[in-house]
This record gives sequence, C-alpha cells and structure tokens, in this order.
Amino acid sequence: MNFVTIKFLVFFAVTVLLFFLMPQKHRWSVLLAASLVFYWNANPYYLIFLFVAILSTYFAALYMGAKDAALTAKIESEKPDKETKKRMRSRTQASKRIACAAALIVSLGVLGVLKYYNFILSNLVKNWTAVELILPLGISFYTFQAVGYCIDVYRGMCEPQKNVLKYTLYVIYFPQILQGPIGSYSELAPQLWNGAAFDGKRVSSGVLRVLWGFFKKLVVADRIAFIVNTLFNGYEVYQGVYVVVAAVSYAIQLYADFSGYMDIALGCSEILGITLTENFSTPYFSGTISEFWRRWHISLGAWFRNYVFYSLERSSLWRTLGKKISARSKKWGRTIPTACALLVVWLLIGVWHGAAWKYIAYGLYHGGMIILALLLEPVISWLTNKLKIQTESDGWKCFRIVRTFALVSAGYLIFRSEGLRQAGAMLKGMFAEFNPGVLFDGSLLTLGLSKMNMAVLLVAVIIMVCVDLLNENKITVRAWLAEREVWFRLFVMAVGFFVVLILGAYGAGYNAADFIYFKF
Amino acid sequence: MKQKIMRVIPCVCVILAALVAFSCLQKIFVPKYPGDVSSITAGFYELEEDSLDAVFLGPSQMFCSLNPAVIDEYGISSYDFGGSAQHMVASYLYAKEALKTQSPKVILCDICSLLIDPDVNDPTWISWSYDTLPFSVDKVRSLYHALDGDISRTIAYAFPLLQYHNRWEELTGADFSWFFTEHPNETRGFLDRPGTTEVQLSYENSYTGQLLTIPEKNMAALRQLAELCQSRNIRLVLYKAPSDSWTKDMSASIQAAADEMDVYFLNCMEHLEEIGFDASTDFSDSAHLNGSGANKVSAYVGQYLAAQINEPLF
Repeated sequence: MNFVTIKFLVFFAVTVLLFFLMPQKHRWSVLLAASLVFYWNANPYYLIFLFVAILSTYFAALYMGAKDAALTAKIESEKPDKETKKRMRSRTQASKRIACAAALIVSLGVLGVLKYYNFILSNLVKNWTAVELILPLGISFYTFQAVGYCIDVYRGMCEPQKNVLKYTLYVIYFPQILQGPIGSYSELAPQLWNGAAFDGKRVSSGVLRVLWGFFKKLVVADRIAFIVNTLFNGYEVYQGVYVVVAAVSYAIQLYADFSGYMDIALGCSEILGITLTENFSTPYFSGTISEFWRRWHISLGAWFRNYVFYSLERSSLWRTLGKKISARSKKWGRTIPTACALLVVWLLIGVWHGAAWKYIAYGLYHGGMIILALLLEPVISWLTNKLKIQTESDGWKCFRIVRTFALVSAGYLIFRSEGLRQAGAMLKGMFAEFNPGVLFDGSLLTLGLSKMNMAVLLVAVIIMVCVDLLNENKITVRAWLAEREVWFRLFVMAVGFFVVLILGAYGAGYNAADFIYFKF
Repeated sequence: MKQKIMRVIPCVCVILAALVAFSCLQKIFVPKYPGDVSSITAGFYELEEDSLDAVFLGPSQMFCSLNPAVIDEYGISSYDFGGSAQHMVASYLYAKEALKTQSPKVILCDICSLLIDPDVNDPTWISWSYDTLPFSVDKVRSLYHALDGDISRTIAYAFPLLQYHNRWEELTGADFSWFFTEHPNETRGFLDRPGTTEVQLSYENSYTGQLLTIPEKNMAALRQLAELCQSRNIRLVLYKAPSDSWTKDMSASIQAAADEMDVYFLNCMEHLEEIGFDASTDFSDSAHLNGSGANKVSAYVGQYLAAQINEPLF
C-alpha cells in the first residue's frame, strides 16, 4: 500500500480511530492487526518470508535468553571460582553464538537468495537463465531490523521478547516496514507496546509532518521525475550541462522522495505517539562525504556501524592485522584496519541497495572517497595551514558543502543509471560539450515540464531549501508552529492540504510513482 | 469558559472556511461541458420545485431525441436529465436526485446501454455521469457500485478536485464565471443536433430469436429504479429511441426484462411508421437524431405519455 494513495489514507484514518478507541493497554494489538493487514495487502505470500525472519530471530533470541538465565542460575547456586566462571561463560557464549549465527544465516540467507541468487549466478555461469523469484517488499529493512535485535540479545544489550506477537509488531510495524527507518529494539519496542495517550498537540504536529512529506513527494519528487527520466533515458543525446542538470535533479528527486517518505512515516507514528529514529538531518549541507552519510539514511549507516563495522574492528582478524602494521608504523596500524573495515562496509552498503554492479560501484565510490579522505587527512591539514585557509570561515564551509554536493550528485549518475556503461557514458558526456546556454535559452522547458510546472517546481525546491536551512540552524518550523494558537495551526494545515491537493503530481496524466527506496 | 469559546470560535471558522474553499475549488476545477451534461444538470437544479410531470433519464440518445418543448403541447412538462454515455447505474442516481426536488408522474428511462457492461476502467462515462452532480451519500453509493467497490476511485470521483486538480494550469475565466452565474437550460436538457446522415435501418431483419443477457450491474440498477418508482407511485417507462445498431433481439431482451419487472417499454423502433420517422432525413449520425427526427419522436412520446399519465397508476 503506497503511502500516497487514498487507500492508505483511509486505512490510516481507520487505524488511528481504532487505536485511540482501544484501552491503552491493548493499543499495540491494533497496531499489530493494522501492520498485518498493511503487509498482507501488498502480497499475502510475502508474509511467509517475513515470518521466516521473525521466527528464526525470535527463537534464537529466546534460546540465547534461556542460556543466559541458566548461566546466572548456575553461578548463583554453585558459586564457582573465577576460572570456572570464565569457562562457563565462554561455553554459554559459544552456544549463543551458534544460535545467533543460525538465525542470521536463515534470515540473511532468505534475503540473499531472493535478492542476489540471479545476480551471482548470472555472473558465474555463462548464459544463465534468470529464475523468477519474488522479492518481498521491504525485505532488506525488516531483515536488518530482526537481525539487529538478534545481535543485541547476543551481546546482552537487551532481554529477549517472550511474546511472539509483540515481537512480530516490532518487526512489521507498518509505517517503517517498507523503507525504514531501521529501528533499534530497545528504543522502538517499548513505545509500540505501551500505547500512548491522545495528545492534540502531538497529533497536529504529526499531521503537519505528514503533509510536509506529501509536499516533498508529490509536489517536488514526482514532478522533477519528468526531467530526470527524460535526461537519463536520453543520455546519448543530452550531454554537457544536461548531465549536470540530470545529476542535480536526481539528487533533489531522491532526497524529496526518500525524506518525504520518512516524513510521512514519522508523522504517522507521531500521531500514534511513537517516535521513530530520524533518518535525515539536512544531508546536503554536509561538508564531507563521511558527514553526508551520518546525515543521510542515518538508520542504515548506524546499523552497519553497530553490527558490521564495530564487529569487524573487534574481530581477532582485524586486531591481528592492526598489531602487525603497528609494529612498523603506529599511525598506519590504526588507519589501515579502519580503512579495510570501511571498504567492507561500503561494499555491503552498495550490495544492500541491489543486486547489480552499479550498486557495488556506488558503494565503493563512496567508500573509496571516505577512505581517501581518511588517508589524505594529514596532507589536507598541512595544505590548509600552508595556504592559510580559515577553516571556520563561511566561505570555506560553503565551498565544502558545494564540493560534497557535487561529489554526491556525481555518485547518483552511477546510482540512477541503468548500468555502469550508461554511468560511464554520462560522466564522459558531461565533458563532451560546453553548453551552459541551455540553462537560459528555454531548452530546459523541453524536458517534460511546462513553464508553469517548472515555476511550481522551482518555488517548491526553494521552500524545501529554506526549511532545511532553518533546520540546519536548529529552527524547526513544526516546533515554532506548535507554540502558535490552534486556529493558526489549523490554518497552516489547510493551506498545506490545498497546496498538495492541487499542485501534487498525481492522478490523470501521471503514473502513480512508488517511492524509490521501495525496491531496496 | 469565555476563553475556551474564544479559542474554539477561530478554529471552527478556519475549518468552515476550508470546507467552503474545498467546495468552491471543486466547482471551479471540474471541467465544464456546455451544451451537454454540465448545462443539463445545472439547468435542472435551477428548475422550480415540483414543476415537472415527467423526467427523462439516460445518455445522449435520450436527450437528442426528446424535445420537452414539443412534449409541452400534450400538457406534460418534462426535462431531459442525463449525460453522455450514461449507464443504468448512473441513471438510477439521476432518478434519486430528480426526486429530491421534483414529483413527476412518469419517469422515462432510455435503455440503449442496458445490454452493455459498463467499463469500470473507462473514465469518460464516469466523469460525464458523476462530475456535475452535487456531493451526496447517494452519489457515493452509486459510484461505489459503478466502480465495483473500488474505494480509492470512489473517493476520487466523489470529490472531483482529486480527479481534476491538474487543471490548475488550464483554468480559464469561464471556469470561474461558471461558478458565479446562473445556468437556466432553455431547451430543458434537449440537444438539437444539426446535420443529416442517411441511415439504412436493418432492424426488421435482425431477429434471430436469441435473448441477450443484461449485465447484472445494469439489471440490479434497473430493479432499484423500478422499486424506487413503485415506492413513489411513479410510472416507469423504458424507452428506446430510433438508432442504427439496435436489433430485434435486443428489443426482445429488454421487453422480457420489462415484463419481469412489470414496467412499460416504449420501443420507438417498433413504431417508426406511426412516428413518421424517415431514416434518410431524421438522423444526425447513426446513433443520434437531428432536430427534425427529435420533434417527430417527441410528438409520439408526448402522445404516449399523455395517455399514460391519464391512466390510473398501478
């Protein structure tokens, strides 16, 4: 069920009504039922794969919890000496590791087979005929959420949930199952089960956020999609500045689309009294690529940092590598293992996005730049000192923001292209022609949007940038609105509603576009 | 308490203003079909209450063939209340709408599309049939049936701003002025089509004896219409105007349905001679009559209705 459909709005309205009619203690059951209906509606068969992830991690966590409890009881009753206690702990840890690994193999195995089977075999076997496999919606998101929980239990960071229904709700909570944010168990789960009381101020804030999400998706993303599609589909014709326009337009489209979805998901949750993890923090104002990834798709970055990067850095293999290099150079002994871990993480982030070489290249492109920045940091510091650059000046900050945005946008040429060949051709095409005149001679009006639509798009993008600028300066429009009178908030809601209703790119003449991240 | 009231009043004002704005925007954004359904429905709602003896329902074959001005001569005031490409499910809604302000003695319903299964994916007939009618529970219910229970599309057509919001770029002064002006329909829904097309009717040789099935959705709507008329003591007459592609098998199928529901069927195809109808001069195109054809048919229908109305009902 796409968020930007009447069906979803009706579904959500009914869910909210039932949620607040239900006694607070049982409100989580409404969320569970709604989430099941929501996912069932996409395709009932998807539920089979969803339950594989749920049940494998649920039972593994229960087993690990039981092992921990048995160990604690044994230590209390037998009061063993330090050495025996250590042995007992290590045995328990070994059994827990097996259980956790088994759950991870099952969950990630299903994801791996469904998502990567054809890709791997088509690269290994000549003339491989692709097998038709279904790819359940949101599989990459819910699998990561379930796996994260399992690892948290393994690490003793949270207690296993005994109620399978409550655990199911944690994995399939409908606003986030299709595109995230990937929530951490300890933060999200208690909110889901406790059932918040009705709070008018919170509800109005949630509604405003939902409207803002609709604005980004329908007024900006789906409108600029016309330009993006024209330029990427006709990449052989559109060269020079057109390629820059394509990259920048796609940067805007992807941000408006993905963050728009997040605003709707977070706004819906806010109405229900549940605070989801923020997934964006004005990412295009980042000064470096690593900062960009701390502010873009935050929950995915956090997941990889917590469960892959730290796991690698703590592993014996990495420690040995670090020690060996440290013996020669202490500085590189820290940097090189980190760079290797980053390379693995970025390879995985690339693969996570999809089974295609372009995604692997996209991951490595970003990973490569982060590693390069890490390795060149002393040189850059030396250079800025030598050139007497005021690193705190606004001019330098602006330069870094523009540079990062340019690098990120260039990466989108790989991400949005049909394949690496197209991405290469577009990068080459960028320098094939010098045609800045197309920005002013009306050529942009031949890319699929009329003059009026272009004007609407321009104004909408300016509004988005202004709001992000305010957010960057820690001024939240919604927080400001929350302090105003109720009638004023209602007025703003009504204006927002009419703007989205009239200027949204939906209905006749438009293809109902899914959110871009649905396919991941 | 006073403070609370002072806080509630502006909120209520904003909500009311938003509702009014929504309603106005809907009227502005809905496409206007002057000379067709827009003028017909607008004109109907401007009629004096209880001023009609007969209401005519159905698609263009109806409002191109029945001229209320001619029927007036038989002492019957009437109105062609329909829209292009209308199906029975919409005709039933038009009947309900008509009965909100009128108390006719007769409802005459064109059945030329009764044997055609309404295409739920064809936006044209749905737009033409529903866009210009005001919002009502009956309209939502009718849309829900017409669209096979598709809730999303039902809502989109019930609130046409969702359907036509993209027209913001093409709005003209006429879209705004339509909203502020009155639209009395001088011809009472009748469309006088110009031109002449010579048509060879093959109706007499079209009988094979095979009854055709009326799609369930149409049949259900027809039954509802019959029940509605019976409950309001209104005589229901099914009507078929002269047209090219109609066959005797079709007539027989409609007659069977009319007999089953105990309603009248005025089939002009069976009375072409009495009407004085000339297929070589009275058609505008193969499906629609021109002014001359319409006047001949209207005179016959007027005569027929005068007899019907004077008969004791049921």
